[in-house]
Amino acid sequence: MLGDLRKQMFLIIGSILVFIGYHGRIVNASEEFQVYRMQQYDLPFGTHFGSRSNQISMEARTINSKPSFISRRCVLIKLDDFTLERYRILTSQYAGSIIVILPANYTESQRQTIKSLEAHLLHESVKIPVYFILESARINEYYDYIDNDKSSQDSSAFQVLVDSIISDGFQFVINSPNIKQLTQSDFQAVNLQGKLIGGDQSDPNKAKRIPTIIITAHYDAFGLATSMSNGCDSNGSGVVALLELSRLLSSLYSNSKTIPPLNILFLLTAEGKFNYYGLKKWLEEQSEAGEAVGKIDLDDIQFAICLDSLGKSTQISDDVEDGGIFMHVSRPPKEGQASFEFLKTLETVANKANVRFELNHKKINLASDVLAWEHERFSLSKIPAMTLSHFQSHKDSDRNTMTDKIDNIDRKVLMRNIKLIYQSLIQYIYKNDDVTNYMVNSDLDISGDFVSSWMEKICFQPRTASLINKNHPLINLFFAHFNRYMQESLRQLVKIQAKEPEFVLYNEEEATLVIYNVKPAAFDFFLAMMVSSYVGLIYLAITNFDKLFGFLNRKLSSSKLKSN
Amino acid sequence: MTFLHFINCVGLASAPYFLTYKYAGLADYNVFWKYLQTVFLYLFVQFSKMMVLATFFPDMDDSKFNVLIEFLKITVDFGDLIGLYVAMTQIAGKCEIKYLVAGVGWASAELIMTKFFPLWSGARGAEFDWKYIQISLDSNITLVQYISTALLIYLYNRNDTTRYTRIIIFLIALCCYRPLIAEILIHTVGLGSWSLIFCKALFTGFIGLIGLSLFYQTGGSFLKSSR
Repeated sequence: MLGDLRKQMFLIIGSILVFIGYHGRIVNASEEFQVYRMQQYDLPFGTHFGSRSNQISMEARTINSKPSFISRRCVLIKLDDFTLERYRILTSQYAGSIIVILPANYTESQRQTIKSLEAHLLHESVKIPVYFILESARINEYYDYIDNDKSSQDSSAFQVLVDSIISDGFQFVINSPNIKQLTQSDFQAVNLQGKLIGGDQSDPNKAKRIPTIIITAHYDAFGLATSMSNGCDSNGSGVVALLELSRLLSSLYSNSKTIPPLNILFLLTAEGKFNYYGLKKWLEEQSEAGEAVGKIDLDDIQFAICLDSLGKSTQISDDVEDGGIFMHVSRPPKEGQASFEFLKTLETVANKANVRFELNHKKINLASDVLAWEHERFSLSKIPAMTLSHFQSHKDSDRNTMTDKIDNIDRKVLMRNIKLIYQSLIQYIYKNDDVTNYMVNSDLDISGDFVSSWMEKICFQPRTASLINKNHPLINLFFAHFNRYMQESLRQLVKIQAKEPEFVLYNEEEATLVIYNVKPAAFDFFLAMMVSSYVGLIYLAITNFDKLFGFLNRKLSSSKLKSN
Repeated sequence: MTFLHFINCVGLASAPYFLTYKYAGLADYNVFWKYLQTVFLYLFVQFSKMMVLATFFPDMDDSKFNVLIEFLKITVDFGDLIGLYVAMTQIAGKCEIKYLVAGVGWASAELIMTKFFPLWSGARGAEFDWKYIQISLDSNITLVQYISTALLIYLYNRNDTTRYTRIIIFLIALCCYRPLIAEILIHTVGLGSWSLIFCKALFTGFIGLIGLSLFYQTGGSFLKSSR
């Protein structure tokens, strides 16, 4: 009898342990995740691009489910499984929506995958919502659970029956407001402008006649997911270079001994990824008749330097790993022109520093709607201009990608490039080797801390055009810098035409994904059966309580007697 | 999950109460008024307990688990025992009726006050969670728990049970500190929700059985329900 009792004890303890082991599964009824929507935008003539909807309320499947189970379902897919082919198959099989799980850090092959997807997905439209989610332990658990779910795979009839009663389903819900087209009132992009005024300050008439050079960079980014495109190299690095150049040059302009007979205008432009729209508007404003604040005469401009992606080096062939700096122009500068002089100066400085330098001449393709480089906007206005970039081609997929994170930046190369441009500017301004050497070796040197801290600030947040308006904290930071180091700094609103705009952006870039644990309808009936049989048992126990307890009591007292 | 799920949960939670009332013999003795009185007494006792807790333990939001403070807080639950005792003294009639009415009344008041609202707000939602089935099962355990507590208090007050007094006091204390024991188990062993329910059921069944056998040995008998 005692042995029996011990056996029973073991049984009880064993079943407790089984129960303890049970709760490790997914038991949360609902859970929330942050997701990022694929970019959506329109270009003129009714061409729509990107993901055209944003709401999801459907059951989840993974990419490994049978194709017939995918239609009108939300398909969960890991980046490593996501290829263009798979994407085409999914959309052709009427997948309801796609959620891509992105790792925190990309490997080289994952970068290539994203870039190849960006090359296609951003230039076509898709009706279903496409979202990205950052990989986490929880979302992986959901993925594995859904992936192992038998009901979406081939199995026996009995298995299907059992699964239709007890299987866990997951309803994915994104319930954000309807997508809205962003209009002028919703989002107000700004160009930032600041001047370093040279020449003899005491004689204002004289100062007016001295020439101006423009240094410009666009500050927005572009990539597959709007809220994940931080654009560190393109064009965060150009912006950092511009800020550092303005800081260095401003100290020359604040000293009456070194003040050069040349104005420099710094310009940070908006919406560069949309055909350099910000610069286009700026140029239009300058050529308009009438006096406006900060307006300059376009005839006074010697040339313009556009800074575009200076943060690393491009491998251009197997032999040449460091492509150095490319100067892109739409018309080769001719001797006697100021831009030619600057070209030669930059070439000499680069050669001295042992950095590869190449002039890349590409005519403006007037047949195309899309401009290749920012300087083409100037060239169209008959202003000599050049773009400095480490990219050899404007078609490089690295220019518009969400893989362009802070680890994409080679700080040493960025510093080197800024220094080259700084040196050649000084050389160009003073035309004297001794002065240049003196300047460069004085404490007026490029500051690593300044560059790094700005790089981090700029990289810290996504900068897609639809996210940055005039009150964005980053714009305020830029403007504070302009105010500190330059004169006549101002921010100019970039106006968008209400009718036939050149591009249309949309909101709802981020959303909250709610995952609900759901059971099939049959489960409720099954549960109702279980409950009623349980209640029936209780009924029997209550009505026969005296017998039941009498029996138990006899057992207990007999075992007590025996053990005594 | 659906409305049907809500019905399932409510059925699971309240059917045993109804069955106990109906078939354990209470329905035959016209005790409904006494039953209602017990429910009101429950409300009064809970209110007093809350006042005491609010007076002496104002920083209830302290999330750190402290055994001593929890112990003191749960000591307030002696109010429940006093309440049950008072309820039983109000009920004239056979001894079995006394503790059954008090126990069922107390437990059903708690069911209505603490279980129905979470079920109503949660079990009808789109998402499925075993939590609501667990709540319902837990209310069944609470029923047994309060009936056995009432039984033990009744036994304690009888004159002919003096030789068992120590056991009875020990069992009453166990009943009273049941939530504390559960908390300690959760924090030390890391019990999951299902295993916790299972342990509660075992624990309550154990106390109930001992109480009943004491009752049996002191000459109690069961009501014969007429059905």
